[in-house]
Amino acid sequence: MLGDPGKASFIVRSVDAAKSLSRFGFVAPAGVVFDTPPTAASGEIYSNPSPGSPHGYHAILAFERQSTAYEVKLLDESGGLVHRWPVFAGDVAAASLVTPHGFVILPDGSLIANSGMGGTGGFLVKFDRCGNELWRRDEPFHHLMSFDDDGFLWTWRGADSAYSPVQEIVRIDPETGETASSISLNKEIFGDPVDQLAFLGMPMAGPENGGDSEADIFHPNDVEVLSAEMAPYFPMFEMGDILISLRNLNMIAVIDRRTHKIKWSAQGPWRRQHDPDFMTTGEISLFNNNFVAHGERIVDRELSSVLAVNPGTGRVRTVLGPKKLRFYSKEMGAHRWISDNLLEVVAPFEGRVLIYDLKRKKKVFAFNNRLDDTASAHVAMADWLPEGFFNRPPSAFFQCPAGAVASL
Amino acid sequence: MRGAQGFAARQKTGRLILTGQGEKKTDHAKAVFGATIWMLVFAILIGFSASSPYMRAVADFYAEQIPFFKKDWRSVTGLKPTEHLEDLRPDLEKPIKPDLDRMQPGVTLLSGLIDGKLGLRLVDENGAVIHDWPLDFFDIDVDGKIYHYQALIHGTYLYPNGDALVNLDQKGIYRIDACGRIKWISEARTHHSIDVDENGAIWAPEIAHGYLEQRLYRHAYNLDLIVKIDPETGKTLDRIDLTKAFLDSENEGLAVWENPDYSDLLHVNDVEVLSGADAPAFPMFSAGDILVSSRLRNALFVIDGKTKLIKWSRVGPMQFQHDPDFERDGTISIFDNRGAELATAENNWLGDRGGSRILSIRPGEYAFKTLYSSTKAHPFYSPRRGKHQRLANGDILIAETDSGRAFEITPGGDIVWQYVNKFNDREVGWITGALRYPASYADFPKSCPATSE
Repeated sequence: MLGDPGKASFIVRSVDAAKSLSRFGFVAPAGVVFDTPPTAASGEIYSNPSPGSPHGYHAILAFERQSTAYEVKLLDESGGLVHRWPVFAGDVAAASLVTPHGFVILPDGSLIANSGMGGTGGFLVKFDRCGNELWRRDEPFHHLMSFDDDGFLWTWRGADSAYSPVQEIVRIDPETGETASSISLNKEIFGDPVDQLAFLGMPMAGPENGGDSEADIFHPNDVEVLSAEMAPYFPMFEMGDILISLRNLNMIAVIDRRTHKIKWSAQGPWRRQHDPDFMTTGEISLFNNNFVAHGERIVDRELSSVLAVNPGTGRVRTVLGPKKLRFYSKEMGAHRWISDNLLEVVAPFEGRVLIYDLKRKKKVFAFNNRLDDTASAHVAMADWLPEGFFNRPPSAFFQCPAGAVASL
Repeated sequence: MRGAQGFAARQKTGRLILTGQGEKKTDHAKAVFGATIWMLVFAILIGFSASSPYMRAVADFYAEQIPFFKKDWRSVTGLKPTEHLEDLRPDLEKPIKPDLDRMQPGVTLLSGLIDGKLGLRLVDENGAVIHDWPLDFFDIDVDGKIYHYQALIHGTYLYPNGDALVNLDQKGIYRIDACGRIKWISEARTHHSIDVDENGAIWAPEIAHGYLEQRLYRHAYNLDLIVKIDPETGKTLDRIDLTKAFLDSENEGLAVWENPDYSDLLHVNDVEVLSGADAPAFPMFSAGDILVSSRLRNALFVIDGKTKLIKWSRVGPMQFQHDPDFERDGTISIFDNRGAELATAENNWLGDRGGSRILSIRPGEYAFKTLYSSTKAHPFYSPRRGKHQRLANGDILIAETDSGRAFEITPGGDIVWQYVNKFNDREVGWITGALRYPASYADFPKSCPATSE
């Protein structure tokens, strides 16, 4: 999570606020601004697409200096601004300054986002293409979200907060926001049968086993369902099986959709990972934050990477590491396969979104959320939307009624 | 070489003190006195507990010890080794006749609480005693030992000449001869298993205290080492630092998680070196690679014998497992304790997870097989400790430690040999190890000098 303003003393916060106002012209919320990495491109946008690359849009959830709030930008391939969703208005904006995290965009231009982080209590909210709120649930939904083949949204929900040791996976109807079904991590996945606890590697811990009832022992940060398109690449699994990530156990696992038993799991060598995804190679790739749980960045090699593990053999390989592209984010982070060769990574605490061509071994796109020559602002999440994703061309699609908050 | 029997007076040898049987009464009196002092201290602490958070924490610590004292006060006071005793399970009351046609021929080395002593026994195929090593490891006093029965044997190993290795938990490996005379004590404070590699070197986990490696934790922690020991002298030949192995192989994710037990980060309870003969069955590994078991992490991992990097790991489905072994068919077999609850009549002697099991996994595959688990007639459960040995005829010899039983099962699950270590009509003593050896291993001379007892 980003820095908790409540933890800093009033004097420290006041000094930071004055510095921020003097340097950037606004008061930056705690944890939103940091040094630009030396390897970052000089401008805000770098675009050098490889010939034959698929066409599409970049959707980026980032802190915006003009509004001093988070918004989702839609950029074209060259980085030109197509649209923005200044979706975090009103009290949601206040919450967004703590940490917005997951978002998904729908073909009709609507957007669903969550922010269960930083002790805000959390919410899940849907806006239409013009930023009008369609539905909202004030509950601790958190982290990355994804759609299944039936168009339902999957996300995590903590009992009391995003950091609760009691968690459930929730399948939500995006039309209404209502919960269609849920799976308890504690009772159904790890509690029945209790043998499943063995996969945690910490069998005696946990609130239902006499452990710390407050500890963030799991920290779930992603849930994704194996689609019909990807299922043939994974003979061990079936369509509908559920891939989850538990950051604080350095663990990813695949859950049987019907029995809720663990079909497969692995812990490490990744550290504090995010965003595991099924790959067409039959592997599962993930954003390896490579962050020491209780420490700080100490040695230079502690850079983030994208790793891939074969669930059949357990073999792990580095897909994109510091030798090819240097990036680091101690927390948050994501990656997305645009094609078999194009890999997008989000480094939130560098304020960067990068796309790397693995075949040509070069960076082809970068978004740097620059504030000035040496400082950048936070990028919470990004996605890449293929050409034809939207129902209508965005240029016409996003014409909102006069006065609508999302109008350009 | 030091004699263990008939010491008329204490003989201090470094950190070791050997005491003869005749001194036990003195030890009991000392233990009773010590326990009384502890109780007084405890009462005083309770009195102070309301006055300061620190004292409350101290009092809480001692309060947590109450269940231990309640169960094992007789052990602490030297009256009875209750820590090594369990209730006799009803199914073990009736002996099982050995099936001499089907069992793996040979002699069996047993270790544990045997006839009230902590030591070794060699039995034949009918369970008859061939030899008891005349050394009671309860008599061995070492630094940090508070009461007489505070000792535990884990790993053992038998040489054809009657020499034996005994891993006295956290105190080191002892090499003794057939008459119980100590040839050497390892330099390293080893614990748990013993593995003797194809070149004769001895491998075991060793306790290590007080790491402060911030790339793992910002808190001091204890993480075991792995030691290689000279079989002739007990001196340390090599030492593998697991913290370094995790860091160098960039595999810290296996050792880092929330709310660890800093006093015992992984609880390593077994190491085993892959032999040249078995290596071809493991395409992912090479001869000399080292298999390590972490009980607290439900994890196995393999360390490259040359680079000392971690090259494979797995967490679950085993839980609190012991004694993983490389097998000649390319699998790893495991004593999967599944130990959470203690065995009681109320849970049919199976704890809360259906009892223990022997698992088989194949590195490079995620599926696993259960080779043996409880049957209705024969519960199988040891919540802690336990060992197993795949035998040449395909059977498995199992030391079901906390049930006081060693038994051999066929691939079909039939029990063809069983030894129940009765302490009395109602209780059994722990059997911490059972190893089958060729009958020729019983050929060593067994006559020992007369003792002063």
